Amino acid sequence: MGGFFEGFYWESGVLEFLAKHEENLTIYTSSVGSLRGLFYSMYGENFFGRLKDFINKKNNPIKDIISSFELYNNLYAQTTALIRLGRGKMSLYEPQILKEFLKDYFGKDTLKSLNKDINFEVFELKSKKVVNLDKNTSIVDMLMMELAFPPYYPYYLYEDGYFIPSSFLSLIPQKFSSDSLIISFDSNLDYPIPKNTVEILLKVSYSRSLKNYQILTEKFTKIEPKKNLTSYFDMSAFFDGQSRIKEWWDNK
Amino acid sequence: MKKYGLALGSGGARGAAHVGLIEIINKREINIEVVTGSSAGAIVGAFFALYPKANLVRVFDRVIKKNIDIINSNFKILNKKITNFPKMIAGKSFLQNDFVYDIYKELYGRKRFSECKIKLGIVSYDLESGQEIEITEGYIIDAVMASSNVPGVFPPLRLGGMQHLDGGVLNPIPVNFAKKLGANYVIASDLSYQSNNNIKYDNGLDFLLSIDDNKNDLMNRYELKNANEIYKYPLTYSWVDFSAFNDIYIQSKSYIIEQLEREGIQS
Repeated sequence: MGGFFEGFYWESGVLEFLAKHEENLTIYTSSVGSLRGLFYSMYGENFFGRLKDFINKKNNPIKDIISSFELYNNLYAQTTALIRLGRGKMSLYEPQILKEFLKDYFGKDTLKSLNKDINFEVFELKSKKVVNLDKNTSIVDMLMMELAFPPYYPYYLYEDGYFIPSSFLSLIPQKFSSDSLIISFDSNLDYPIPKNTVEILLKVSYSRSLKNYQILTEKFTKIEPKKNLTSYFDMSAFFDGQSRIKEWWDNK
Repeated sequence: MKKYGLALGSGGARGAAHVGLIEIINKREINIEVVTGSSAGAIVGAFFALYPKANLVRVFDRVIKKNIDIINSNFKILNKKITNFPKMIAGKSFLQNDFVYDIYKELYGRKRFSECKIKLGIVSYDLESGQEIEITEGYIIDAVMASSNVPGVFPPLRLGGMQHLDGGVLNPIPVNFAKKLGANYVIASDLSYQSNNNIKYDNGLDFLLSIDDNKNDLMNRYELKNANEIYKYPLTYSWVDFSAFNDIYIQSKSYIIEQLEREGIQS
């Protein structure tokens, strides 16, 4: 699992179903998939309620991103984003605010404290290498790397490395076992025909990630939405994810 | 029996390396039967497919020298952040591609794929469907215009019910396409090498545009795993360094010769 916030509800629906039907899941995650994996490893099959509570916490800056992240098809959002990014800011949101919030929530716990078998994958820009995070990494540092998704947050500087989530490059993590089941909402996103340079660059960027996703998952079973959902951020997407995985589960 | 294919990658001015490689291939008397190209690879590959025995370095050197002022004055605009800013919202590109058309017209005239001496395949990207497009017929100038149409720099080219952009978007080096066209031994010329891994960005926009290049690595590996001979060039030149055409050609040719010597092959 990887992706960004579009698949927040849908992929959570898929994971909840799997968690209820399979006790020993090994999960490979990146980006928002890591946030989901983290909460699953902390709270088991009831993770989604806790995850929603976390997102909706008063000071959580992620809430703002979810409610205002649509750049495509929104000329006002594009203009303000360009002004902020073009005038020296590295990102649309301030990473330090996110870090403080995460520190308050997770304290100094490390990945070692997690109960389930979860892999957190990131990409280091200088060495151009995909990295599976060490269990001694703190949860806060892991999330800062996994949420360093441009243009919302800049790369995260950690132990001399410059990290972004690997799924920025390929929608999902790049290293997983050969019997993995691929869960991806983002692979089914539909970008209308671009109207300007910003939209051209956004669509081209998405097409490249999608191509990498297709290369990585060529020989794998994939759970993807069957239809284009008009609303990503409500429980209808969650239940659509559940019915999609149930259909696969019943036929396997 | 070997049926040789040549896959030429994208990389702008660094495409001068393809010219050096083709010269050496001709000297080795390798009979190329299929050539595929993406972007810069399409520009060089198309001319080679039309005129396999031409002196490519002389042809491209002459065309670039003749047009270098207009090339440089256009690409200089890419660095003008203030004038480019409104174009990102109100337009579909920073530059218009009329000057590119004039240059390609000199190279390919009204030649068609069917007139090529070597089977030619060119890749582009369709902005509407988000798919890679494989072109093997029609007018060569149209296919090369489509394949070398850098997103954001030039406007999408409307052709055949599609809006074409640079082939390098989804296929930086079309090795598998060469196999699809019948080659069973593919020589790949890969321009993707980046010597500079310094992490330095002027601002968030620069960061956003730069990190997208990291997506090429996976696509490159996917294509190159099916290549039989691979040539890479540790060049420091940017894709717009057309003034350095000759230097790129000379440097990359010496890399190829060194590689062949290491492998005990006479060049």
